[in-house]
Amino acid sequence: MASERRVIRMELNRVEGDMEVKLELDGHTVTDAWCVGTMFRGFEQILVGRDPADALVIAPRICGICSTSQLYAATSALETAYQQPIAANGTRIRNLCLMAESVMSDARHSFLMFAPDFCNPAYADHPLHDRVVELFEPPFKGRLARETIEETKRILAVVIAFGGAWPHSTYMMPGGVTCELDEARLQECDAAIDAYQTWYERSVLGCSSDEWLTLETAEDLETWLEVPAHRESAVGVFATFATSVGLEDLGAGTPHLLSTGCYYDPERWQPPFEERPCLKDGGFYDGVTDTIEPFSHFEVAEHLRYSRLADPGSPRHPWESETRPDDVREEPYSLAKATRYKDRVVQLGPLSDLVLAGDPLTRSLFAAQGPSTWLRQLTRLHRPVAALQEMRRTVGELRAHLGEPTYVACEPRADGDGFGAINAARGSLGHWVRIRDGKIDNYQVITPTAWNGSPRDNTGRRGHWEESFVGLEIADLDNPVELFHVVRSHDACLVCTVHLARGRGASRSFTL
Amino acid sequence: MECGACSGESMAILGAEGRGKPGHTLPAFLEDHGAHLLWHPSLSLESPREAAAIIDRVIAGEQPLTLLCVEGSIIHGPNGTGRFDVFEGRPKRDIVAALCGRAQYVLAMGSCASFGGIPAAPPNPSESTGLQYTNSQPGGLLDPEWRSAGGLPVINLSACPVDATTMIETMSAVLQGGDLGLDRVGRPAMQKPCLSDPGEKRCRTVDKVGYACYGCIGPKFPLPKALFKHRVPAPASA
Repeated sequence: MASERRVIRMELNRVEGDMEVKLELDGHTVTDAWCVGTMFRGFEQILVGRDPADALVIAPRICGICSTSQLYAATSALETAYQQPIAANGTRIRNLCLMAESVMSDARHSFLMFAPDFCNPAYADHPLHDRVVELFEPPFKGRLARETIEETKRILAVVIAFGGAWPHSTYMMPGGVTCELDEARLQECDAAIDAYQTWYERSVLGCSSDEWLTLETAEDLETWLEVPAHRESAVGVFATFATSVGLEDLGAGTPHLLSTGCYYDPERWQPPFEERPCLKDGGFYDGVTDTIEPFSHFEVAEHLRYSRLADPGSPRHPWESETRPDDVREEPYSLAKATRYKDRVVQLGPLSDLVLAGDPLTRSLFAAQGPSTWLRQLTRLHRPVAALQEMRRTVGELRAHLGEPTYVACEPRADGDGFGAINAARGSLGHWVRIRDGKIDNYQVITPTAWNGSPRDNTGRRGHWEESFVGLEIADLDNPVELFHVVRSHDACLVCTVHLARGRGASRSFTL
Repeated sequence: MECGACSGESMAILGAEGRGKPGHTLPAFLEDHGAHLLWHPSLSLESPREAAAIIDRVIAGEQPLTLLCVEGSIIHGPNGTGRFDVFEGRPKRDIVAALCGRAQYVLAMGSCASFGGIPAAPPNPSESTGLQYTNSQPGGLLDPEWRSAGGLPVINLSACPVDATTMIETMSAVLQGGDLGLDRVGRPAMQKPCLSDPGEKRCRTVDKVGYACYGCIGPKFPLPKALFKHRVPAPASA
């Protein structure tokens, strides 16, 4: 009954930034949703008029969590604008550092951000309660939470070997990386990868990486979980708990997936940059027709009807897009733009990345269950296993090319349009730059969270998160743990997103 | 509190490798000093609503607050309202100001909280300042004369981000009551440029990773346009 409907406002924490969700409820059922960010910094405006190289310092500071990803995307945007050849070793080192950041982020997100909700008072009577508290209790109390802090800082030694520090070092430049490549650095990487893999197998998987990687189907995973030692591992507890509280039925959202592809091929990623040769393919998965097409950035468009920004009236490609505050119109409610691909609402993140890259286990589970809160989170536990092997392979390749340069001298152009995209831990991240007379004329960043947490588009369609909340049953409106699970399964990184727009604050109310 | 932040300091303090030593972690610091983490926006279980209750108790004087750590610039926009950065409906700027009035010591973690940093760069779309400075000018959210209950100005741990070792050593020194040796812009003596060697105050960025230092530790970062000293940075192995 309409008279029972009401709108409530919920702020969320542990999403790395500031976000608020407004829900329309009928009893305990969510009937509509709006996603709103609550912070604005205005990076695009700060970049305009500056030397393009300044983007390498400023753009990565959009986000201290995926700083390597932002640096890589910014560098790549300048390289495509300059048509700059890239040293293959430069790409190898960048890929290696990006993999390390992703492996780090997957563990920190899973065990410091997502799993603490298993310790929520709502689950006090759950049979696994003591076990999840022992493993995940925040802050820094659960065993795995503590180990995660210790071990993830060790894998960052890979980034530190080449960048000196993490986050926010500027060791990537158009043409390659600035640091030298030597055996000592590679040995630091070997040691970090070995130590992390040992920890991951012992404390997270409860089996060897090789054994885990034999799991290729949903049935394989089920069989694996039947072994007591596996069920007792962190992945086992995670899986058992998550499915026991129904996370595989929560928060499907849009059926369409998008990934720009993971890790450029060092030999083939060169001017004119028309193809996107990646070590792991990306693409657009149409969830209605069940087909995959190659990714093209020309299919990306930003809709501003519901954003508190000046709206040109029709969707714009990011090169043509602006981020100019405008608080005059009544309709807008969100701090982000609504980004659409081929006019579709898409979801991004490790689930999309792995499905499009053809990962067998993820594809099998996706085919059987479709997208869900559980599957998005499982991919973050699964992905590091293969990533560590890929890191080892990349170190081997660097060793085989030890004497070769890491940098090709950069020749900036006074004018050019650039697009750089890489897959961050949270999904595909794109930087679009226009350079005129040797200065930045326009700079637009579209983060995975901007796609996922987007507001309604010009035709009024809800963004992916908004869609994923509709239908949710919330047992305790003062403690909406179901909502927390869905949002955190996207590893929401709001610091990235809300720089794109402005907020009018939290006071807007919806009358029903 | 995280204000106009990228979470870089929150992430940095979780990873004290590099110049840091093993054991220099936030959990180890809390244990060594018997300190209780009241709340952190990314790491605590408490929801924002519960956090708001904690904040209210501190502001009411019912809950003691020894160290207030702030990350990110203080956002005053649009038009001085602070509505570009709100928490539970209130401008964070106002919450932080009230907490500063109760805390024994206030630490600005990173260049943004110290001096305004990147958000305060022209055209400063968010109308950002630091806690007690705006770039190199004294005065930000707080007046230049302001002192915390413990008698110190805001302790500015600049750099972008400031490294975990500096954060943890400074917090430890504050709790032990030692002299921080604050310099003319409020930075403690334990503050070091990035990639410097122990006991040395020289930035070693070029030697170690091949690109020119762009001065993220200074109060004017990133105001100079063309941050790199060379038009085309000249890497080590070019």
